[in-house]
Amino acid sequence: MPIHEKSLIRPEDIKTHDELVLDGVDVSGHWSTFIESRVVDDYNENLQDEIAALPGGENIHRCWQCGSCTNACTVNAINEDFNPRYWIYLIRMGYQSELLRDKDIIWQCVSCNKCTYACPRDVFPEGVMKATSHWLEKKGHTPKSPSMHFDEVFTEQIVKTGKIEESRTIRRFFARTGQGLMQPWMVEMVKRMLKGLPVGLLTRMGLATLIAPKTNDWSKASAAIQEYIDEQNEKHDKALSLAELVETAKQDVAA
Amino acid sequence: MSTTKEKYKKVAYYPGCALEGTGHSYNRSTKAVGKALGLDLVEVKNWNCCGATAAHSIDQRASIELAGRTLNLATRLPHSDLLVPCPMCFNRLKTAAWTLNQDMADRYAIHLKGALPKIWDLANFFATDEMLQCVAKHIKKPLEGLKVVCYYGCMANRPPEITEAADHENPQSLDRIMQNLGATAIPWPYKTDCCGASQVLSRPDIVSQLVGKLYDMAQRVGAQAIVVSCQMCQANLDMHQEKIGADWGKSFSLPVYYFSELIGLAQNVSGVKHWLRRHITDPFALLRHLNLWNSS
Repeated sequence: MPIHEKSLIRPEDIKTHDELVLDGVDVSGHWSTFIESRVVDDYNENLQDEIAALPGGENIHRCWQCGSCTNACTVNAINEDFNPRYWIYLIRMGYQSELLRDKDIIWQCVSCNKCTYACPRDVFPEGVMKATSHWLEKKGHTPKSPSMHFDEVFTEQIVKTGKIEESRTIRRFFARTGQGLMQPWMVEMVKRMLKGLPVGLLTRMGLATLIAPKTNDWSKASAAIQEYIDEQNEKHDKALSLAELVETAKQDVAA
Repeated sequence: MSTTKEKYKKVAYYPGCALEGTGHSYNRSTKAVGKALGLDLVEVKNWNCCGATAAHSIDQRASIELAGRTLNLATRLPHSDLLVPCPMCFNRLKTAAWTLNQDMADRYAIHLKGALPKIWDLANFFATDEMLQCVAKHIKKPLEGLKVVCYYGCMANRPPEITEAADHENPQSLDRIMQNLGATAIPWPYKTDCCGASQVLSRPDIVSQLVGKLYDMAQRVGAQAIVVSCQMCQANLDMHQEKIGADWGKSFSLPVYYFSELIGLAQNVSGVKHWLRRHITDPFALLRHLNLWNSS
């Protein structure tokens, strides 16, 4: 596990010139390295509240920046740009533009919950990662991530039938993310299965893809959950002032 | 053994969706082994999905209520133990049980109707002294010579406040089960590291790095196979071994067994062949090599 986080100075901000003379002073070479000053241009005062309004982000205000989450993080170990502590800092400070630089990797959290265990303040960083990727999508900063597509396909199926039938979930996931179903590993798996399985079992599996397994008496529960999810979605959109965002965009287009 | 009715101990059983699909072998082997040991697994009637990781990232409250419904169905059964083979389900049920017993229970539309049975992670249940002794009595063919590492993954252990795992950083249940069967369980550092779970669909490259690291370490400590208690870990470790080997420039050949399959093998329960057939990485070659597999 990494103990040190990487330098906060981004490589593109470090300026070294081979030949530069300023006011008659020679400042070329390594010993006269400049650091581009950091400019915060879109400070979002509501950022923390918006993240806290989404599922998982509720406890973000408790963070005291010890960095245990980053130190414990599975993904950070293979990609040092994945840094939950830093993102929580940016969100709490409202540094939206800085946060947006990492918008394409935040959703890669694998939900192993090592951070949840390591956190001494019950911030629930895994939830904050989910809330942040949610926020990025709702605000239109990122297209829906494959991971979010998966979660949605999965939840839709539970709401509908009460149970998951995996091949159906996987098929829908590939359809929605625009990938072909014939992934090489899948073909290999089916080939192996065909080799060893008795015919009866194959027929049953075939049937299971046609007739999804279902929990009995689910329709009432299904309607209640769906209604509730819609209600929550509305609440989240309101917390993120999405309607106003759309309104402003409309006015911009009109003008 | 005699099959008089009173000899069967009845326990409640929540298989979960995955055990009806990818975890088919886990489900079948658990049932067969349970039967041979005199355990009657009574499935919770009309159960629904636990919500898994997906539901709680879409909606936290719905995820508690989904698991809460199944818990309420379990309270209707007279049994004092609820066995949950899937660690994901186990984690969600424990989370719901914990949440619905807190002051904040009022926030949820579902309430617990009665005393809950004890919710067991299946591996922990089989690692109790009582069960280990029971299994030891039924062993027909000890798994001598088999050297394995036990891989527990995330969900059965973290966070310990919820799972009540006694030794969450260095769990021992699978190791104890394997030693009891006569196999050698080698200690290793990656017992509770993550396999990447459902990111296998979204970001296979991340999974390749995480799982490759596990194979590499397993081989370095001298293991011949990996033993798991989670169908998601089993799928991730078993399915893509060739491809991940290619990514790492190495060749890995580590069969990935469910602990229940190996108990069944040691007890010589019928059906082992059918369970193992569904594996992708060849599970038979190693067993043949160790003289633990007789039929062709």
